[in-house]
Amino acid sequence: MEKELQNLRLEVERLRKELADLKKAIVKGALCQK
Amino acid sequence: MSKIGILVVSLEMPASQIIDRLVAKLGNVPLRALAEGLDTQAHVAGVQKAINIISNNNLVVRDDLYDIASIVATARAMAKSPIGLKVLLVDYIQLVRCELGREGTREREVAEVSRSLRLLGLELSCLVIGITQLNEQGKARESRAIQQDATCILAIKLDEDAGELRTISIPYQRNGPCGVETNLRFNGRTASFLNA
Repeated sequence: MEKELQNLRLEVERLRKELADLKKAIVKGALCQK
Repeated sequence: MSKIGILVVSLEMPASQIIDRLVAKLGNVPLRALAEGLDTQAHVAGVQKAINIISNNNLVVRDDLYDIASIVATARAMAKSPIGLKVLLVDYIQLVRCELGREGTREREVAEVSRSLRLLGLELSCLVIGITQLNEQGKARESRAIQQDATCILAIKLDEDAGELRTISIPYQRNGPCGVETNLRFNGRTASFLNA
């Protein structure tokens, strides 16, 4: 149970960063330059 | 979402909040969980799904364009890029600045913004969606020109007794029946409209 919670926290942290990076890319128009 | 160029110009809320709403809708994740922390595997999977969909699309959200000249210039630049521009959304028209000098009343300024957006859509062959505030009579605030320039007007009506139900009506459109309406259910948790 503790391990599952730990994994979830890691996953949430990874997604938080991924979403923050995505927001920067959308505002800069970077998605259109791929 | 299909892979077309989409430009969202938000003068109403920060780009970050617009993207949060998009993630909430696409991933079926409550906005509150996005703000306060994801705490279930379903939320995690939903956010990942939404990120994947958005990443594979040509979406630009700008919250730093305040006047019509900047909006026109940005739209033209995007239309000229290899991606192109197929949809321009402006939220909302009355907040867009347009300097007309001393003789420019607020109503004339709003009319000029509306006209410019209309012409921009024709010039770039893109769909322009302009959000507008309504006055107490249900008409576009500060300018009738918005209604006259539009190809189609969609109105969202909130009945206080209707709970989540919203009436979506088409009071006017150039190429179809006018006065038709339907109901949709608004899910505030994910900021989404769903079938009633």
